[in-house]
Amino acid sequence: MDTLYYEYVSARGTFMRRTILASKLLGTIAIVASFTVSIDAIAESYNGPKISFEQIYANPDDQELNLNYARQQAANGDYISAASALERMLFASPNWDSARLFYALVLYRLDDKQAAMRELDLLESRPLSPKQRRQVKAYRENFSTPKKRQATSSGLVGRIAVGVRYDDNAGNALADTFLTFANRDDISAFAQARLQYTNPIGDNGLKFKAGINGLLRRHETFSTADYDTFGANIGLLGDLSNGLSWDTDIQVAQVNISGQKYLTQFGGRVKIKKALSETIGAWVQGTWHDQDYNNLSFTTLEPTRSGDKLSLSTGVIKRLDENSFISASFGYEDKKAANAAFAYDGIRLNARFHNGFGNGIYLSGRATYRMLKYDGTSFNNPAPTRREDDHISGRLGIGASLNILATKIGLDENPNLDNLGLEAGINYTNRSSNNPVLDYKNFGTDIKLIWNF
Amino acid sequence: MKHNSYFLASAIATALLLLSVNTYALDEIGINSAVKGDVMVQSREQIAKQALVKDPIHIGDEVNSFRNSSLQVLLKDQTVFTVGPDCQLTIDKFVYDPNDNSNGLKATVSKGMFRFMSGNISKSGPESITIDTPVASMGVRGTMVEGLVGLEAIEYARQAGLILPGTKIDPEGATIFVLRGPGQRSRARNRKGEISVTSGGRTVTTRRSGYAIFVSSSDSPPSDPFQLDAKTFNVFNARLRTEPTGGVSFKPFELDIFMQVDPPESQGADNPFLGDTPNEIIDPSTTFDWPSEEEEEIIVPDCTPQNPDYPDCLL
Repeated sequence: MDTLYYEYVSARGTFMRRTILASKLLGTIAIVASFTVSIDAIAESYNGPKISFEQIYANPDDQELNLNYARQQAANGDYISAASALERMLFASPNWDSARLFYALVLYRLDDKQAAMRELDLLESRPLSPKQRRQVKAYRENFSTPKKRQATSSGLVGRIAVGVRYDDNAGNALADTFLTFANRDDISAFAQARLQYTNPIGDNGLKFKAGINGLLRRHETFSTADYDTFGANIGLLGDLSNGLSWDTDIQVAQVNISGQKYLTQFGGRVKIKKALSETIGAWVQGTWHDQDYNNLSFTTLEPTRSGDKLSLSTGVIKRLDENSFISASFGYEDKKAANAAFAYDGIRLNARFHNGFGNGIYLSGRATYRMLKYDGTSFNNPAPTRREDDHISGRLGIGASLNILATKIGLDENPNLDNLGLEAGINYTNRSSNNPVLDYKNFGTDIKLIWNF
Repeated sequence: MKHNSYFLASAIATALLLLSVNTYALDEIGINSAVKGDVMVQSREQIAKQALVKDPIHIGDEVNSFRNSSLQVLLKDQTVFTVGPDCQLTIDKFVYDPNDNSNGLKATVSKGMFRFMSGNISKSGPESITIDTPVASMGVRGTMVEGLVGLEAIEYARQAGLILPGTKIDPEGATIFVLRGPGQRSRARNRKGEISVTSGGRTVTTRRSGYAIFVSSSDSPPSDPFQLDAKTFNVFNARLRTEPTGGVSFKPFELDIFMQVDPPESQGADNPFLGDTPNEIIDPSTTFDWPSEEEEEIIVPDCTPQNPDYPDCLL
């Protein structure tokens, strides 16, 4: 009875702990998302007199009244009313450049970028003040359709990034063989590259794709933990009817640690996507990998991790605008291993957002929660308690193109710097295990230079 | 007796006249809010007169604009019609009660170019606003839309490759409707724009800002939505919007407006899913922009420091 009670209390405690962890994760996402939304919402601050539509109706040719009404309505997000007021003003005073600039912004906010750009074009030849001219220039940059980095028809796209990272608990690194290496901070440098080539096959929407990726990381203090990863994929993608599309590829990857081959992975992925509307999409995905682990010169049990890993996930993504999206997914993963202590299965929840402010600056974030149940016990925890872990990890990054950063510090703009960016991030990892010795936390920061092409 | 009869008849006639005037006054549905050039408004049983700002507009008034002229009409529900040059517009129906949901607006454009920005009536429902042309009927849902009726529409449709051999054409009634917004990525609180064009027994809908639908004749179905080319777009701009005339800048003011957050979808949001009425054609697969590869999470091999859940293993 005591055992049963203990198990009940333990199970209840585990459930509560996981509920609290999941709540913290979701709460963090909500806070960060609202933070980024509030940054974006540098709200129009209209502090003038409140103007009713009836006043406008009675005095449609009152320019001052219409201007304040346009400001008021724009501040309230009613851009159609703002646009009609500004059109009235420009009817009567077509040389009202400030109103035309305001009108351009309103049209952009209504997602009529073509019309917005037309208004900016008209202003180029006008006798504007230096501030107005800077605003026209800034709006033109914001309104321009950003270059798509994805090869939508055919071509090569890629990204190269270099950076440095600090972790306050880089301990428990992969190569550490003693559990007492805790709270060891370290600085590391990294370089990452990814290339993807896509080319249509025929005229029926079928495309061939191939890509490679790699990551190198070097630690300042504990160089034994240095690692390299290399990967390649080759596959096909295509469109079906009614907004359905598919994407499948074969993937290989290798991980070297301390210059020694550690993991070779081979497998495949199938993804089905459906566009539910012009702003919402959903997907289901399955991956399978055969993982082959090798011992390192300072490890003994790594080959017993070898086995298959299967992941299934489904998610939804919503485009907020052409620079921003949020997404969430739910998945299940099942890892087999020769040693039950390394085999597990469990659920995974992911949430992401990317908020581009339209001026080359963006904020992005990611959070992951995994609840894993292992097939066996952990090595220093006696049977029958099987290991169970909760993982929470997240990253928040803010970035901007070098062109934008240059103009912010007073330098001339240089469009050649549009594809180069600087991103800074903070990340957090927390593993909570039913074996407290395996608990792990890390807080890190990183900064990286990115080149997209 | 004779005098009494005469007096009685006069009194009745006067009363009827006053009643009709009052009734007519009650028919006021809007005003002229901006005028440029020569625009004539013909109210029923009255001589057409030059439109002036603040003049009332009534149900059944026929607006006729001439070359290089335009008129902005502001209705009581905040709907705005811009009548472009050489255009003929009549508002056939206007029912608006802010406390009622059974509101409606119906207008007819017989020729020329126009622009329409929806007001509060559009919130009553998708069937509440209809704009008819000689060949088609357009339903409007919370939107900014422009249109062109007549021979020019045929020419622009031809340039877009929409006039095929055997296409039946009504040279005076052929129409192009262009949805201008709010686009799907608008950050306004306004409902996202959508137009549904019906002719020849078929309805075509688009929600894509900058896309147009062409109807060649009343017997022909609407074309699939197509993107308006820059040249045609400039023609619409030149006639429906203004340009500086070269004078000094008027009354500069500081523009301190920045971006506005998108409101939650729950605020009177449109249904993002496909329409459920037959004959509607909407293809979101050609419009949804999946994140580029760089934005997607890269799945990396397990048990490596690169994994977001690092470290995932020990020993």
